Amino acid sequence: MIAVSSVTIGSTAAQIIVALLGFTICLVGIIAVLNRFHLANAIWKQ
Amino acid sequence: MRRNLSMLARINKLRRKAYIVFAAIWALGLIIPMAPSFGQSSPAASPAAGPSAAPVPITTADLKAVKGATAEDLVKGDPGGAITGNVNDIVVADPKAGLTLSDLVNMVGQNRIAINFVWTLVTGYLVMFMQAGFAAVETGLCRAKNANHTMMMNFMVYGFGLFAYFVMGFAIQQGGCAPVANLGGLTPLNSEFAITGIGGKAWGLFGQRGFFLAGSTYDVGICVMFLFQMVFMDTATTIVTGAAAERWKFAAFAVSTFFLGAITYPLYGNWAWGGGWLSQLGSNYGIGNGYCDFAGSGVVHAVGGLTALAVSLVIGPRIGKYTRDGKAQPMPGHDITLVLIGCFILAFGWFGFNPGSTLGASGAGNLRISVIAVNTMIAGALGSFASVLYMWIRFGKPDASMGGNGLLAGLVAITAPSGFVNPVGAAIIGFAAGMLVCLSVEFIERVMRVDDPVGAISVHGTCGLWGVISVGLFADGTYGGGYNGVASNVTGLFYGNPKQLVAQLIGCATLAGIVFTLSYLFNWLVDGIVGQRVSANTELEGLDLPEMGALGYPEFQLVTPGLGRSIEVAAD
Repeated sequence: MIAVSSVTIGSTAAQIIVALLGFTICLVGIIAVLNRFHLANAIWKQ
Repeated sequence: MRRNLSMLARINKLRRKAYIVFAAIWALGLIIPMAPSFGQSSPAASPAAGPSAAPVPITTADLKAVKGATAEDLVKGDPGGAITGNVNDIVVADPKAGLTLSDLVNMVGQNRIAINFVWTLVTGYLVMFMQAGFAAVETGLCRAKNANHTMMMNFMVYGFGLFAYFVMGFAIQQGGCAPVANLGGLTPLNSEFAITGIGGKAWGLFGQRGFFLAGSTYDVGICVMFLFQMVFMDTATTIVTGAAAERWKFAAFAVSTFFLGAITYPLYGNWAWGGGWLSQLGSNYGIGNGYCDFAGSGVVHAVGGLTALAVSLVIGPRIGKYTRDGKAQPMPGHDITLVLIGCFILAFGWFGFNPGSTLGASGAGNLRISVIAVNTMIAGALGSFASVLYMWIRFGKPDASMGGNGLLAGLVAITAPSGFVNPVGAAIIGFAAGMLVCLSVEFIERVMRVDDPVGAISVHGTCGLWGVISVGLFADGTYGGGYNGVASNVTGLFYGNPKQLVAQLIGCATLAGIVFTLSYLFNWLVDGIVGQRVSANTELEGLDLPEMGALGYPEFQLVTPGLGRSIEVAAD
């Protein structure tokens, strides 16, 4: 949603920054949040 | 003696480093001479020299005067091919009236569409053959005790995936894609469900025509489109089987594949290729040509790679992959020859994947197929070169499996930009992908501790995203006029248009934010309801007997190193 909201911004540089930010947040969500949740119950820890 | 040995080892080490430095210099030498052309805009086509003759209109009377080969000529045979195919072969509407101008014009039009049909179908057959390549790569990279199971998953994505796509996937993806001029219009595919989005613009979400290819979509052109799009979808589904191999329950795999082929893949495919909202970013908001993904780095590979990541997270790593302190253990595949043969099959099939995505060989701009094929070749080769170089420097050996993965990484990365970049851009994209895949494999295995036996998440997910972004950087503005309904050619940041990069980043965010989430939620639900993972005993013994009922290699004794277990098959 953050990346998509960049279509409302006039400046191209700002659009790139907002789109990049949206993409980065998605990746961080997968790598740092969701993956950490799965690692907490990982099979090799049991 | 010990000193001599130590000196010998040092000399060998120095010699190895010298080889690597030499290889790196050679690679730079390859790129630098091409650099002056990089960044330059392509010259416009120069007009033909000399005065041009005034066109003379052809009339029906002129056509009557054209003489073809006679029956007497043809009965002698035509070893030189000079008289076969002439005016007599033009289909006439009314035999009594003979050849008319309208017959001639209709024949020219049908020939153009026929060329495009044949081109798209044959390239589709090449893409279908890629399934054999994926099956070989994934099975070779898995252990022998799971060979039957891994091969069968790769085999059955064709059956499960096609069924899902035939029932509803194709309609969701392409149901509103008309007109497609290269294939005769595909006019019956004219219904796209859309909502009113930001700024009051229409946002296409999914198509609504083409379920079961019934009704008005029972059409020659639509069947060409179906075959071509179906084998692309199949490629995406087969990516997941590699990442989840050696512990995925076959029933769960079937359900997951059906969902991917019916919903997830077609939705993103519609947004990018079927007239959906990502493709409309250019016409609606002036953001470049909208999201541009020529042959599917995002639509096919990133969707497959991110779904592979979602399934791998849900399913967890194989037993023995990580020690109790989280250290990754190597689990080498059982047949490297199978892996590299599979990679070559895939590289061959990619000549269908990318050049075939023009959906035609005849007509405006379709001769671009030669550039696309060369870009594909260069990026794949540079990808394998870069990954082997990386592994050689980092670990002292040119790792074969990573060489194969580097080839695939380069091919995956060039898939989206193949139509829009020049060969120098393709070389840089492929080389970067070859490096990137090595870094990504290490990151996913050691930092994220996600078990991916074949490196599918890195090859298809990471390099797929890189391919999407690279369109926004390297598109050189020589091709793509009219793409997504925008008149100008597709041009990236390095050639003066930063807007295209915005569209590509929105596409990447959509992949990571929506496609991944959808895949994750569905597979998490399947895990909760029926379970995604086989039992520990099944996993340790190998999935072939418990899941498939037969071993992949029944005449061999298979030993699992380190686990002290073996499967012995007595000969009858």
